[in-house]
Amino acid sequence: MTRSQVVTLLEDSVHSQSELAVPILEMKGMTKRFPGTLALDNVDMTVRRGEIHALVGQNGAGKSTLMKILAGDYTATAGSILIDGRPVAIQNTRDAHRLGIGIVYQELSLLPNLTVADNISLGRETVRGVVLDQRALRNRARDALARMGIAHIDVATRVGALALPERQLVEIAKVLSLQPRILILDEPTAPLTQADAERLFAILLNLKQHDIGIIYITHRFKEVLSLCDRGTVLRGGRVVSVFGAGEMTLDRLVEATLGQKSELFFRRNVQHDATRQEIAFAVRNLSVGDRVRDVSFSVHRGEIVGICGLLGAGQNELGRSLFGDRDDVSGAIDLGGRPVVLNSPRRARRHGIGFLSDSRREEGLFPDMRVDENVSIASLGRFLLARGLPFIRRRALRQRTRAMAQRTNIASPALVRPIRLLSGGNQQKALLARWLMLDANVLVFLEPTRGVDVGAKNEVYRQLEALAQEGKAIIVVSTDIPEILGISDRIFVMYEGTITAVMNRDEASEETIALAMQGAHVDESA
Amino acid sequence: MAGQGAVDRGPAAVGAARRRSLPAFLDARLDVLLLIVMTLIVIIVIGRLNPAWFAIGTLQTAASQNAPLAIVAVAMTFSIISGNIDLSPGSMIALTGVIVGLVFEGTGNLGVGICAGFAFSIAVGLVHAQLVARLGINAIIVTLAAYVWARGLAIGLTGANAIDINTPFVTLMNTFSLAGISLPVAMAIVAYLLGWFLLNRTTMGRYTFAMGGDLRAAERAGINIPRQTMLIFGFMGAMIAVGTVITISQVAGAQPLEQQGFELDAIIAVIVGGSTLTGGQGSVLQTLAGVIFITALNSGLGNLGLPDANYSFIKGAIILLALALQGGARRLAARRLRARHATQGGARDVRAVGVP
Amino acid sequence: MRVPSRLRASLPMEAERDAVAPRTANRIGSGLQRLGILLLAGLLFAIFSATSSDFSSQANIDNILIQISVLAVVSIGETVVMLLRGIDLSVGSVVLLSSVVMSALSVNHHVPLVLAIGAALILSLLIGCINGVLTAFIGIEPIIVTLATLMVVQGLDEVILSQNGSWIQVLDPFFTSLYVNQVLFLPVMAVITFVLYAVAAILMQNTPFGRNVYAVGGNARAARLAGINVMTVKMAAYAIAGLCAGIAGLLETAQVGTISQNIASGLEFSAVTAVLVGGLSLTGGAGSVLNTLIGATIFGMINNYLTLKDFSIYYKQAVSGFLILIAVILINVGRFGHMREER
Repeated sequence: MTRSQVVTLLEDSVHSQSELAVPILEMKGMTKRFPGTLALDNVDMTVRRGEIHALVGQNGAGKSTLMKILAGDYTATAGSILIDGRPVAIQNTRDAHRLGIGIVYQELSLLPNLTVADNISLGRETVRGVVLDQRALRNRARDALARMGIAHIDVATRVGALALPERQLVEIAKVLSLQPRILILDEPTAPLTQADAERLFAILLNLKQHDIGIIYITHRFKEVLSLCDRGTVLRGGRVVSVFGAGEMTLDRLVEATLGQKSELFFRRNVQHDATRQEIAFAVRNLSVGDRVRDVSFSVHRGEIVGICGLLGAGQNELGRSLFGDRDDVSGAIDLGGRPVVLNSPRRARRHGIGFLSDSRREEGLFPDMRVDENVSIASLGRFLLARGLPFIRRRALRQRTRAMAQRTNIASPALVRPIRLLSGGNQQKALLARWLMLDANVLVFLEPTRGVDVGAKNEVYRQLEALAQEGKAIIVVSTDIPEILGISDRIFVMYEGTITAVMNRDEASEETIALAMQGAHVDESA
Repeated sequence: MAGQGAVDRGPAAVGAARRRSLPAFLDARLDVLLLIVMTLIVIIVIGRLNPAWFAIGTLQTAASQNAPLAIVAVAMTFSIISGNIDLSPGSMIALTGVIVGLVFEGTGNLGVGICAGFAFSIAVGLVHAQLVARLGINAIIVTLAAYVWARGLAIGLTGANAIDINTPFVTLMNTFSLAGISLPVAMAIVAYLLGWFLLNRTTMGRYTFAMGGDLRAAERAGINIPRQTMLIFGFMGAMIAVGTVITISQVAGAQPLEQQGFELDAIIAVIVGGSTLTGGQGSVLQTLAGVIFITALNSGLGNLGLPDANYSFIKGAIILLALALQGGARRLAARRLRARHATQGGARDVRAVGVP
Repeated sequence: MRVPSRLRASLPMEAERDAVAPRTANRIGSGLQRLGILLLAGLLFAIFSATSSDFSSQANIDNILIQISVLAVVSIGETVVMLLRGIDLSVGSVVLLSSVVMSALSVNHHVPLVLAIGAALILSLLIGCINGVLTAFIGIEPIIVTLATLMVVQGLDEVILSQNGSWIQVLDPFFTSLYVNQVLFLPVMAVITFVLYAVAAILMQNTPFGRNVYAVGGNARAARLAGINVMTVKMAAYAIAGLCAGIAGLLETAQVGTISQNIASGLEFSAVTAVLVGGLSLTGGAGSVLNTLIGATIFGMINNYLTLKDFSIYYKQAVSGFLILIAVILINVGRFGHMREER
C-alpha cells in the first residue's frame, strides 16, 4: 500500500458514518473479462454494516456480474474482496455460503412439488438418526416466515400451489434462514404486490438493526430513494457514482444511469411520417392475464413502435399475446381493419405476423440444424412441387434462402454450419430471415439485440430500418432505452400493465423515457 | 411502485384460497379417484361373472402371487418419482433367481445363495445408477439393456431349464400363515411400511422428490445426485432380491423364463396410481392403489377362465382405457389450475425477461 | 470434477417443460458420424470374415440381408419416433399382428392375398395412430402408452392365433418368391428394404413433414413458435411407426413361412438398438434414417456371426443387451464434458 492509500483509508474511516469502522463488505478493483467483453472494469464497492446499499445501472452495466462474483457463481479476473476487513477467496457458491453471503436471484430456486417447509430447509434438514425431524423443519420454516412478518403462508403448502408473490417471499425466507451477514436481492419486488413489497421493506429495515449488509439491485428508483442508505451506480462496467441518502433525486439517478457508452448509437434515418400510412395493426382493450390491463393502440405500415418498461411492467406479455403465445388474452386485435383471433402461433403466422423471442435459445433456434435449415423451416409449405405433391423444391428453396441470408447480411459459408456455432448477432439475423422469408407484414421483436455483440447490433437496427421502409409494421419490445430511442417512430412506455406514455421520436429523450418507466409523469420531471 | 396488478392478498387470502380448494383437492386427486372407481368396477364386474373369485382363498392366493409385484412397485415408485424408470425388474428377478439357484446347487446352502442373489441385484442397481447419474445415460436405455441382457444371461446360464430348489425354507414360505396373512404378503406389507417411511420421513425421500421436481434446483441446493441415484437404484436392487426369494419359493425353483412382463405391471401400477413419468410426485399409497388395481385385474381375469389369449388383450385394453381417462382428467385439471392461478402464468414471463 | 447429471434432459420422451435445446448433441457432424459407423461396420465385416470361413460367402451375405430386412424396416419407424424424443415399444407385437392377420385371412379365410395384406397394413397403421393420439393428444408419456399397446396387441395376436389353430403355415407362392428371388444379385427382400429406406430418406429430407420432425425433436417450443403443428407431427410419426411395422410383418411372413407366437419377440428392443447404434442422439433432433440402416446392419452382422460361431441362442440375447449398453455408453462418453452448464 502506498502512503496516499493509507491516508485515504484513514480519512475514510474518519468519515465513516457507521459506528464500526470496518465495512462488512468491500470489493476492490473488481474486474471481469469475458471473451470479447470487459464486463467489469475496476469496480469498487463498499457496503457498511446495517446498511441497505442500492446497486443500480442499466441492463448490461455489470450489476449481475458483480453480484455473481460475490455469490460464487463467477470468479473475478482481478480484484479483491474483503469481509469485515479480512480478505477472502470465493471460488464457488459453497464458499460464499460459508462466508455468510446469501443471494436471492430473480429465477427462484424453489422446488414446486415440495412444501414450503421442505424448501426452506432443503439440503440442511434436521434429522434424528435417519428420520427427518418434521416438527423441527416446520418450526424452522415458521420462524423464518414469522421473522419476516408473514403469517398467511402455511408451511405445509406445496410451493407449486402458491402464487408467484408468495413464492418470492418463501425464497427470501429461505435465504434469510441461512442467516446471512450479507444479503443480496436482485429485483425482489418485481413480482410482489404493494403490500408484500412493504412487508419486505419492513423486514429489510429490521435486518439493518442486526448489522446485516444488504445489497439491493433494482431498476425502480423510487424504491432506491425511499429505502436505501447509500448506492453505487454502474455504467458500462464502471462505477460512475457512489451516493448517500438525501443526495439523490429521481432525475439525478436517471441521469447517472443513462448515457451508457454505446459507440454505435443508432439513429434512424426516417424519411416519412409513418403515421400518415394506413393502420396495419390495431389493438383494442387488450388484457393479458393480470399483467396487461386494457391496452389500446395501433401501428401503421412502415412504422416501428418501441414498447418499453421496467421489468414486469407487462411489455413482454403484450408482445407475446400478439403472436398467439398466451391463452389468457381478452380484447380485440385487428389486422388490416379486420378483427383476427390469434390463439396460436400457427394462426399468427398465417396472418403474416412474425415473432422473435427474447430467448432465442429456448424458443427460436434449432441448434443442431444448419443455418439455412433454421431460416427455411417455417416456409417449407410454400416451396412444394405443384399438383399437391409434398416434396420440396430444393433449388428454389435454396435460392430464396440464400436471398434472405444476403438480405440480412449473413455470410454464405455460414449457411451450412449448425446454427449453434454462430454468434448471437448472426443467430438473430437468421431468425429474422426466417420471418422475412414468409413475407410477414407485422413483426414483433422481443429484446432484438439481447446477447448480440455491439458490432452486430447496428446491423440488426439497419435491418429493422429497411423493413420499415418496405412498409412492414414493426413492434419492438425492449428494456434498452437507447435502442428504443434509436429505432422507433413512436415510443410506448408501459408501467404496471398499462401504457402510461406515448411519445414521438422527436419529443422523446432518454431521460423522459426513463422517468416514464419509473412511473413519473413525464411533464412533472423536476 | 411494486406489484404489477397482482391480486393483493391479505393475511386471510391464502387461507381463503385453501378453503376454496376442495375442488382443487379433488382435481389433484382425480386420477387416484378414477383409479379407485375403476378398481371397484373391475372387482364388481368380475365378481358378478365369477362369484367364486370372491372367496377368501382366491384373494389370499392372489395377494401372495402378486407380492413380488407389490414389493418391486415400491422401489419403482422411488425410481419414477425421481424422474427415472426401471425396465429391468422382470429379467433381473429371473437372473437373480438363477444366480441363487446356481450358488445353491454349488454350495448346498440356500442362505448363501440368497446372499449372493442380494449382492448381485444390488450391485447391478448401483452400476445402473453410475451410468445414469455420472455418464448421463438415459435410465430407460440402461434398464432396457438390462431387460434384454439379464434375461439372456438367465436363459443362457441354465439352458432354459429350471433349477430345482426344494428346502424347508421354501416350504415355510409357501405354507406359513399368520391370521390369514402369508409370508410373502407380510413381506410386502413390510416393504410398504419401509417404503412409506423412507419416502416420507427421511432425507432420501425428500431428495427423491427434489430430483424429480427440478434436477438443477436440487443440485444447486447441494443434493448429491449420484449418491441419491445410487440409493434409489440400490433400493430397487434390494427389492428385486426380495421379490426373487418369494418367486423362487412359489415355484420351488429358479425359472429363467419367470416374470415376463412383470416390470410393465410394476410401472403401470405406479403410473396408474397417479405418479407421472416426469417425476416429482407420487406416493407409496398411490402405488398401492395401483398395485391393487393390477392385482385385481390379473387375478380376476385369470380366474374368469378366459383362454390365455383373451387375457392379455383385455388387460391391455383396460389399462389403455385407464391411462386415457387419467390423461384426459389430468389435462382438464391442469387447465382449471391455470385458470385459477392466472397470476402465476403471467409472472412467470417476468422471470424470462431477466437482466442478462 | 462434478459432472452435471442430465437425467431429465436426455429422457426420450416429450417433456414440454424441458424443451431447452440440447447442447452439442453430437460432437461430430452427422456426416462424420456416418463415416464413423460405416468404418465400424467395415471393421466388423473384416474381422468376422477373417475369423469365420462362412461369413463372407454369398449365401451367408444373402442370409444376413434377409435376416435384417425385418429389423431394418421396423427401425425406420422407430427412428422417426425417436427423432421426436419419443419411443415405440409396441412395434414388435405389431409386426406379429400384421403377419398373423395377413396369414390368417389369406390361408384360413381365403381372402384374396392383396386384400389380406391391405387389411394387415391398415390395422398396423391404425395401431400407430392410437399410439399417436394417446401420446400426442392426450399427453401420456410414449413409453407407457406403447407398453400398454404392446400388451393389447400381443393379446390380439394370441387371440387371433388361437382361433386359427395357433400356427399358420403360409404357402402362397407370393411369399415364397419374396423370400427366394433375387434382383440384381440381391435378395428381393433386401431390395425392398433399400427401396423403403430410400423412400424414408426422401420423406425425411425432402418433405416439410420430415423437416418438421427434426424441428420438433430439436426444440419443440421453437417449433411451435415457428408455426409448426407439433401435435400433428407427433401423431404422424407414430402412425408411420405402425405402418413400418406392418410392412415388416409382410417381410417376416415371407421369411418364416409359419406364423406362430414366437416370432418377432423382442424386436422393438432390437429396433431401438439399431437406432442407437446408428448414433442417434438420445436427446432427439439429430441423426438420420440412413444411419439407422447402418446400425441395423451392424446389429445383423453381429447376430449372424454369433449364430455361425454356434453361440447359444440364449446368449445371443445377452449379447444384444450388452450391445445396447455399449453403444449408448460410447455415444455418451466424452459428451458430458461439453454439457457443463453455463453459470
